[in-house]
Amino acid sequence: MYSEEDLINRCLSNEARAQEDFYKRFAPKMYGVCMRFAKNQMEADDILQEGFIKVFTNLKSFRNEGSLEGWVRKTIVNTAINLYKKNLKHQKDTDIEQAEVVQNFEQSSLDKISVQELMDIIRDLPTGYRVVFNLNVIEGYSHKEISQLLEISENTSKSQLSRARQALQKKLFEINRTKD
Amino acid sequence: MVKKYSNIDDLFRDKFKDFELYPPDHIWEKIKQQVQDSGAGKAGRSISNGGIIGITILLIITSLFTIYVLQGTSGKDADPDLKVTEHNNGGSLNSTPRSVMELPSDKAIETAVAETPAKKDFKPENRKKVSSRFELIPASKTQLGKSNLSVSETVNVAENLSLTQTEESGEFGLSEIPGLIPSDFNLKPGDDSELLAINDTDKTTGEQNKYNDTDEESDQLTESNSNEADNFAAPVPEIRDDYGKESNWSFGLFFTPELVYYPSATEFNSRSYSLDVNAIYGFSGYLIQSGLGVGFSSDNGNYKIDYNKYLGAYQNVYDVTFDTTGGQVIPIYHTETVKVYDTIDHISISPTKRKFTYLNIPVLFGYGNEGRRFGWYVKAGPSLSVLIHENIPDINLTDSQNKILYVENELPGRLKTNWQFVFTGGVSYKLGNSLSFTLEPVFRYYINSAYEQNNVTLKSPYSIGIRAGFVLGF
Repeated sequence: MYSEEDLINRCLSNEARAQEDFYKRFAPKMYGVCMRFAKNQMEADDILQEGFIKVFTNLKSFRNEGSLEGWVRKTIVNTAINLYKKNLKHQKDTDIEQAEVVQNFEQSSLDKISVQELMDIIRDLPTGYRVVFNLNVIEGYSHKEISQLLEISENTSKSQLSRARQALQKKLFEINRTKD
Repeated sequence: MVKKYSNIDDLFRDKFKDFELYPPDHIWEKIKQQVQDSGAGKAGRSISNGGIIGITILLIITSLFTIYVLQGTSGKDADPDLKVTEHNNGGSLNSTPRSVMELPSDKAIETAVAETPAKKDFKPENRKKVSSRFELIPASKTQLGKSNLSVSETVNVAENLSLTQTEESGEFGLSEIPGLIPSDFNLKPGDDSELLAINDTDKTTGEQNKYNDTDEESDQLTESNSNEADNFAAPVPEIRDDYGKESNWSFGLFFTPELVYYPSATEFNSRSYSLDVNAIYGFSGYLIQSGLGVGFSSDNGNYKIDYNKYLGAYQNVYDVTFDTTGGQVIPIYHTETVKVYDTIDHISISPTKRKFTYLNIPVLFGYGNEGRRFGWYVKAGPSLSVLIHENIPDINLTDSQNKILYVENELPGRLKTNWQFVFTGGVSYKLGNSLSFTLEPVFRYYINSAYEQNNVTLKSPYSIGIRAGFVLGF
C-alpha cells in the first residue's frame, strides 16, 4: 500500500500499476457522486471516465494543502457540472408541477429508506433541480457559488432548490406510504 | 437505533456521506488506455513521439519528391552522346543542349552533326570541306562573360552543319553542304536528336571553325564560305532543354487568419493566426509547397478556484523553557505563527486567457495555371503543428493569503503536436515580373484535436480561413 504522496509521485511517473491503485482507492466513492449527478448510469460512467482522465492529467497541479480525496471529488463534481452545462442546450426539462409541501409524515420512518431508493428519487428529478440540490445540500456550495458555476442567477438557484426539495418530499411521502 | 431527521437535507447528507458504489470494469480500461496514450502526468515533454515521427515522415516525403523531380529533369534532358570540352583547361563534362545556345565570346566553336546514315548520305570530301569553313559569330549579347567551350561529338558518323541564329527571332538556321537537301533533316519542334551542333574532330585538316570576335554587332553564326552559307538557312523552332515542362522556384510569405470550429463543443471555438514562409517548386503546372510557419492561438476560459478565506494569525506557544542563569528563573516561550482560515470552502471564478505558439510544417501538392496577369491554383496536403510555447497566466486571487484548495481551468490542455489536412485554392495577381499577390481560402481539417483527450467532445474540429501573401519567383 503506497502512501498518498508516494502514490501521487508514481502516478506522475506514468506508472500504470500506481494509476490503477489510485483509481481503485477513489473510484467507488466517486462513482457514488457521479450517480447522484447523472441522469442514468451511462451518464455516470461518462462523468467518472472523463473525471479520472482529468485527475491524472492535472495531478501535477495538486497542491498538498488540502486532502487528495477532496481534490479528486472536486474534479469529479466539476466534470459533472461541465457535462450538465454542455447538455443544457440540448435538452428541455419538463418543469414539474408545483409540489405540495409534505410535512406530516413520520420523521422516524425516513431512516428506513435505503440509499438506493434515495438515489432513485434524486435521479428522477429534472436535471437542473438535481444539480442544484446536489451542489447545495450535499456538496455544500452556496447559492452565489452555484450561480457562478452554472451561470444562472442566485434566485434561479434558490427557486430550483426549493422545487427540488418539494419534489423530493413528495416522493419520500409516497415511498413512506407504500412501506406502511 | 433509529435516526430521526429534522429535514430532508440531513437525511440525504447522512445517507450519502460514505456511500460507495463499484464502477464497471470497462471504465478503468478506457481510462487506462487514454491516460497511457496521452502520457498524462508527464511534465516537460517538448515534442511527443508522434511529432518526431511526423516531422520525419514530412522530411522523407519532401526529400523523395525532390529527388524524383531532379532526377526526372536531368535524365530526360541529358544527351549521353554529347560532350562539352572546355578549352581553357582541357577538361570535359556532360552538358545539356542549352550549352549550344550560349555561344562563347572569343573562341572558336567547332560543331559537328550526328545523324543517322539513313537520313543523310555525305561524302567524306564534302564533310572535310565544310567543316573547315565553319565560323561562328555569336550574338553580341552573349559575348561577354561566357566561358569558352568547344563541343565535340562522340558518335562515329558526323556531318557538319552551320548554324545561323537570329537574335530577334530566337531561331536557328541550318546550312547544309552542297548536295544535301535541307528537307531531309525533317526537323520538328522538340526533336532533340536532330539538333546538332557538335565539333568537327577531324583535326587533320588543320582547319577550325573560328569565332569572329571583331564583329560584335553580328547576330549570326556565319560560315566563312558565304556562298555556301547562303544556300540553305531553313528556320528551326526554338528548342529548349525544359521543353514541355517548365520548372521554377518561388518563395512566398503568407498571413492566414482562421476560425477554428468544434462542432460538438462550441465553447472551444477559437481564432488563430499564422505567418508562413514557404518554398514553392512548380513544374508543368504542378507544384509542391513546403516551409515553416508560426501559428498563434489563444483560449479564453475561467479558473475555478476553491479556497479557504484567510482570517488572521496568532502566535502559538509550542514550547516553554526556563533560563536559570543569574539565579533567576526566566521562562522562554517558543512560538510559531499560525494562520487561521475560514472552514467554509469558497469558490472564485476568474477569467483567464492562455496563449499558444505553434510551429507549422505543411507539405502541399497542387496544380495551377498562370496567365498574363492572373493565375489560379489548388493545393492540398498534410500539415503538422508542433506546440513550441505556451503562456498560461497564474491564478489571480484577490487576497493572496487565502488558502487555495483546488484550481481548475475550464479548458483542457493542448497536445504537443497535432495533424491537419489542408485544402486550399486561390488566385494570384502579378504585381511585377517576379512578384505576385495571392489570395486563397483555406480549409483545414484537424485529423486529431489540438486539445488533450477529452472524451468525445473535441473530435473532428475544422477551420476556415483566408490566406494572403506575396510570392517572389526566380
